[in-house]
Amino acid sequence: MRWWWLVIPAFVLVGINSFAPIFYIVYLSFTSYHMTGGTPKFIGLENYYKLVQDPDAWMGTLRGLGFSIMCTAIELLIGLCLALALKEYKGKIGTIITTITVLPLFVPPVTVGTLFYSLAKAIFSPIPYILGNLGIRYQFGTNPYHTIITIVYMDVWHWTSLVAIILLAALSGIPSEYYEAARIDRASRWTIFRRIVIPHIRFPMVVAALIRFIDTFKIYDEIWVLTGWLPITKFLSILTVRTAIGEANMGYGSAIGLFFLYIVIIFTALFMLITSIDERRKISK
Amino acid sequence: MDKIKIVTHIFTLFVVISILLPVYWMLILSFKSIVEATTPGPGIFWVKHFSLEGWKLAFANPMAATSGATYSSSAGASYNFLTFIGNSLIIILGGMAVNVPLGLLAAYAFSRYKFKGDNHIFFWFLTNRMAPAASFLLPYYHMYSILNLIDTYQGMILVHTVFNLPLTIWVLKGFIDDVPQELDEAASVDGYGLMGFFRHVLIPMVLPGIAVACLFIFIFSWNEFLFAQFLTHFRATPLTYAIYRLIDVCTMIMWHEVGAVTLVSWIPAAIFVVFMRKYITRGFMFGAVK
Repeated sequence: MRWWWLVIPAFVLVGINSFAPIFYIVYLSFTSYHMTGGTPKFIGLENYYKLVQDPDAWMGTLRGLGFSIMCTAIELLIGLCLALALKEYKGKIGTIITTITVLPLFVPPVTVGTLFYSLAKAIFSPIPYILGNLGIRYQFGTNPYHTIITIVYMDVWHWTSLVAIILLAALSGIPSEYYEAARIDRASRWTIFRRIVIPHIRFPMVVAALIRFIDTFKIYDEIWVLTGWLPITKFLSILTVRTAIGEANMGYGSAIGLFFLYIVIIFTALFMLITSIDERRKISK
Repeated sequence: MDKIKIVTHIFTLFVVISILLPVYWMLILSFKSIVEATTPGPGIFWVKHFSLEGWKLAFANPMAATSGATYSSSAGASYNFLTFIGNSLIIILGGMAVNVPLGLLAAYAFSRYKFKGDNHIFFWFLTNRMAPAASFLLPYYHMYSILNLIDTYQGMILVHTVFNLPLTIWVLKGFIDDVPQELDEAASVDGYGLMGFFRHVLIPMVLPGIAVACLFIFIFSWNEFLFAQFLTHFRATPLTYAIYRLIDVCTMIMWHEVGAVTLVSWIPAAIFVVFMRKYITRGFMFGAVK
């Protein structure tokens, strides 16, 4: 018990770093404060009344949820297929393929934005060119469907590998005896998949889905670069930054930011709950 | 070869190609001249006249024309993208210098001692990482303008600890858990104090863990954009924000320069995935949710 106090320096630093801003943003959300001038003035719950009636905030939430659900569903599906495919490759070739697959996860998100800007939005972009040759008039920005499909594709390109490697880890945890037993019983591929694979990766799938869902809901960098000023992609993160700093309305922006934080905290709590159930399940086994 | 095998191969090939195509796209973009790069038509898919203009513009010019226009406020300073890479590295190394010692101490305490609420504190550390950066940005933006920390290295290093320190603690705790507790007692019997124990016993044993933590710090600080966007103007601007400035502020986007700097910004990712494949899954379960 001598050295428990070693945790204190980190505790103090993270404490200052996270508690102080949280208290401060709560305080700011109760004030009317424009950064253009003046000091914060206490106005009670007024910012929150405004928030409840603000269609932008609600639409931002709904858009964010819809976007996250779309991305998560597609990434989960492709990620599962990819994990099943990657499992088939062993040795050196497997290492190379897995390494290439996880590459997009670690490139700076902002450069994914610049990449898709050059792929979809510039005059020389290949996506409009190819689709144009196929007879589709692709209009990024003006056509909301094209815009949404493009940003979903961007997120799928960037993050599907994450789902794949989480599921791959789960798949390689299945004892090979199970497969052998199934083969002796002459079980079909589909039965093996349903009775052995699915039960083993059900929890990892939920975890991966939640990670992707929370992450996509918080998306900022790529979207800002690509479509920063389009109404269709005004998600909560962009709305927060734009209101508070772009329009210098710090008071109201803080209220939106807190609202955003609460939603993320709810999802994160759910995530923690599910992972802790998973841990307990593993221990009891 | 049965049908499923063929489908698997085709699917994997498709995924690998769709991941590598953007790399190819950026590569050819960076090796074109600006006129060729921005000319629509079938010529966009390959390089006709090989040119190093973009790379020179980004890294060789002391006063890059495009970025020079964006940073007119700091007239007379000579800089190019090497400056911004330098800024990124300063922020990263500063972050390591703060995070690793503090993280090591805290991880040791979490690993060895049960104290009241230790689980709660540990989870609180982790949730800090998951909170949306946009919400954290506002108070930081305001406090930093009061404290004059905007556009300073110290400010950026401090704000990066919010998401890097929890990760460091979490990574190191995993490694310290594997060090047998008998060693602690043996060290204490041998008369080692706190400093001696850390220096001669613990740190040599968790050196791989420190390397893993450092690599995670490196990649997340290198990729961070939102704080950089609003908490720096020029002097402490890291690479990510400098790339964004190329697209945002200029009336004419120098696409060959964008291609060159984007490729350079992907190098750490490439190095990271080669060395860290073993740890990526674990690191992401908690670490990367940000």
